[in-house]
Amino acid sequence: MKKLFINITLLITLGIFFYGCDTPAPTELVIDNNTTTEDQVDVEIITKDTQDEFYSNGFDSTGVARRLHNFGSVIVVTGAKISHRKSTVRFSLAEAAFFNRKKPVMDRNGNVVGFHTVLPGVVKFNGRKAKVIPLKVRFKNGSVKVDTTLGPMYIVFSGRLNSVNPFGYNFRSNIIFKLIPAVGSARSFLIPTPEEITGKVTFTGHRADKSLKAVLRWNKSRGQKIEIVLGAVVKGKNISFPLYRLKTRDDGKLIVPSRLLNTIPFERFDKIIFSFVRRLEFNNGSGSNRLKVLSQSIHTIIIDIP
Amino acid sequence: MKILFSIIIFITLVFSSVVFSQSSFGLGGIWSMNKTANTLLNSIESNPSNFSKLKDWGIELSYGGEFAKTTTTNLYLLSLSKRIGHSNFSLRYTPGYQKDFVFSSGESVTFNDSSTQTLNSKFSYKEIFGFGYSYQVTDKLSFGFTARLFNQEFNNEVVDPVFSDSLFFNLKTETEKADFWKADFGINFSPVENISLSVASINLIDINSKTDIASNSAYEIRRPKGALLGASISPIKQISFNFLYETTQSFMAGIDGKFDLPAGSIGFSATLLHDKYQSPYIAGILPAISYQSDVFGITLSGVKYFRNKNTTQSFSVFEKEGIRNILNNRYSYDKAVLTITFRLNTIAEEKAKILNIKMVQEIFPALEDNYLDKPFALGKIVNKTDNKIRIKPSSKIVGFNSDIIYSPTVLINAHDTVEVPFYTIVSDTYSNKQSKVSYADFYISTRNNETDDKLQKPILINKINAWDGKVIHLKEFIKKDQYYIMKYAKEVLSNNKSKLDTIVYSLSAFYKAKILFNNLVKKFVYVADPNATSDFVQFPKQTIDLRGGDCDDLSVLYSAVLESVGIQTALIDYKPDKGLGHVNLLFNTELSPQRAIWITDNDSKYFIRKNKRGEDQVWIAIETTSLTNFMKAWELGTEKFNNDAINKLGLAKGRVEIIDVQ
Repeated sequence: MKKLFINITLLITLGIFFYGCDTPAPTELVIDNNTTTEDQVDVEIITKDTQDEFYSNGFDSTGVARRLHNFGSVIVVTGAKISHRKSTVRFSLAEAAFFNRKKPVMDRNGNVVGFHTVLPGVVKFNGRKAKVIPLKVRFKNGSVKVDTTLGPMYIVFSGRLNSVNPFGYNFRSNIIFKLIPAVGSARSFLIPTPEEITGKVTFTGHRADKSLKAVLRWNKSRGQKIEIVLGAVVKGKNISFPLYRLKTRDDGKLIVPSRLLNTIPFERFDKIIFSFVRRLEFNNGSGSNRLKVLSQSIHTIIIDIP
Repeated sequence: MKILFSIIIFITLVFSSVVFSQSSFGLGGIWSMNKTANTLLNSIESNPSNFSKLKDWGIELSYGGEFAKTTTTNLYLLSLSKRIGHSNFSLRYTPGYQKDFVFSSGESVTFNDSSTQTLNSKFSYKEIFGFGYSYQVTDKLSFGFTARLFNQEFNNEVVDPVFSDSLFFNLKTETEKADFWKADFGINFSPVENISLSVASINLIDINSKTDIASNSAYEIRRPKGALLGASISPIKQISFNFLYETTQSFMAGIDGKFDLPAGSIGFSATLLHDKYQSPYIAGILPAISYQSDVFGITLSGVKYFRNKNTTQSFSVFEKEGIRNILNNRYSYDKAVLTITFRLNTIAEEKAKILNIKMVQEIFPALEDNYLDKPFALGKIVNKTDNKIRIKPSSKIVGFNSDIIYSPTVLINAHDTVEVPFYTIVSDTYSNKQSKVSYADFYISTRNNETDDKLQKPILINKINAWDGKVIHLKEFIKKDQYYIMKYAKEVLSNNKSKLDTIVYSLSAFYKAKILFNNLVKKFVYVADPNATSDFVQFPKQTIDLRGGDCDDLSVLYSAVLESVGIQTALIDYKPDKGLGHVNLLFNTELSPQRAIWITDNDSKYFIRKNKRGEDQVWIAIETTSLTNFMKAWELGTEKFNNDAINKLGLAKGRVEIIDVQ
């Protein structure tokens, strides 16, 4: 009798092992507004080739101060500051470019690299008349680097290099944009500006043992997300590469994924740049009059890598 | 009891400030300790002290389903238990004790081809293995410990940037693991039959056996220390109320019942659970139903949560609170579990136990018939099983019984305690003339040739002539030496045959008694009991041999002589106010009342009593200590009887008792 029970038990046990061992159903957790996880971030590579200085941005590592992307007609107004060690330099920039989408510029493979620009009239920011300068772009035509001019664009700049024509970028305020066409009536609207962003980087660890850790803090705002561009400066040169674009909630703190820092080839780079970008983005007008408007506060911090 | 109370207070004070959740949750429901022991072998969660009443080997298997969006089935538990003496060992493997979480890590990456991928994480918490040991100090007190091995695995998808000809992201999964042991100690105590108390630690010993965690330490199972206090109260035998309290924040309260069936028992349990980290206040219910026989058990149990199932599970809450229990947490799904239990008993099971033996009478070897219908000892026997059992009591008095003497079998209901009589038999050959103290071994058995329990008690065996002073027991002395006395009486009567032949038949009993008495008194003298007590009585032959004796010796002898020739006798017990009493006897002249005049014209010298056939006949009293002659003995006997029994209303008041020898 006892043997029978032992056999039955073994049989049931083997049967259950064979037929019935699922993995328990997992519980799906949802990230919500209360989540304090510090690495909620979207990461995007900006520069794919860090060997080629073609992709560098000179001093403006962010690549956003002059972000005339997609070559749609665009207005970009920027209040920026750059901190390195104990000094901070401020500047303001307002740009406007109007593209003629019927006149594309193509490389030799037939890819559109841009559109020629037009000057629809006089542009004023806060009543100050914008200068007209050429809009230059660089692109690779096969293995040949090509510098070309797409046409004129409008610009108002004040700060480091030019304080002659001061352009006041007031935060949490408005900038008056006005376009006075050669023919027809003037077009004017307000461009709101975001709260000024002021970042702080706490940098610990050492590149030698790949223990670098960067905790970014900034004055949080009610905005949905901010953008942080992580770049690196080539050793001995004033050339920087924007490497990654990090988008995260405007909640005041981000621990940079350590892998992004510690995989940077420090034999080539000796500085890291963090650009905090708080941006308002909207469209003005519709149809052929549609303008993409970007209004942004940028704080760029340059860190000497320990 | 004071010590236990102090321990409970101490542990409560030490741990009452910490916060923790439902650690005592088990899939089998909560049962009172006595029933747990028979229903669920390895419910370590609610039984940290590993309390068990398992007799030998036990195997248990729990298999069930979890009702999430889809139903998954799991082997929750496979366990093995073994009792060796007072020690109980248990071992369990818990492949189904697992909780997984999946979520977006909050990080997403955009690859070079502009595709975007959200990085996901999966956290797995498992209880792998557990074992327990307990020691049963007494039937009421048991203590022990349990230890369990847990595994935590944190899988996070990450991207590694690769700087080569171009900068690109390499997607991979990083895994961090941590194993830990936790051990707890507990005590179970049943001060009385219907109350069980338990106290145990929670997470008392917590040892990380393998830790490889750098960035996920915040998500480890939270293991705050605490104490578990349990109580089961059974107002009636079939029903128990159970309560498990985990210091300040969580509790479980339930009821269970058990009802005997012809071949086993059926039980039910329902337990409500409250957990600080779950809502509503009563977070769920654990119902269970169980059938148990001696070797096999099957239990269907489950847990039903009352929370709103549509609530989105928030990562922020998980991040803040974590989990404290793999099986029972705010993310747990409803479950149903089938538990199969096998008990393989290779050692004799003690089904019944002798609680106590009370000696109700000493052994007087002469009073042999007295022990056939009156027990010499009463035992309190308890049925330890869940079924009605038939026990066979037996005993052997060392130096008195040559064999084990079996008493009638007794039926005892499950867990009942009854008083069982033990009888004995006096050997015909016992003739010890000195009293002695010996030992009586008492046995109870529920099977052939196997004893469930035994107990030894000292007992006084009196010498062969010892008498307990009860006149009714003198009958036992009268029965002795029957052949010798019969021979003696017939010889006397034969010597008087000529005289007897001249007497009418109706008077033969009277004259036979007269001849026999006169023959005896010729040789005898009255000798008071040398021990001056009433505890020594001579057998008839001894009195003849010794040619004398006291009232009880002579009454015994004369009664034996008359009975041996077919004359009915009765002893007259004159009970004293204090000190020694007196005995003489009546005998039946077999004359009808109308013929009483044939022996006397004094109607105060005889008494009318019924014979065995219910007919009125003439009895006369004889004072056996009057060793002059029959007529004098009759006269004195009559005088004593009339005075004490009739005039002083001794018969009516019970001061005088007539005891028929046959």
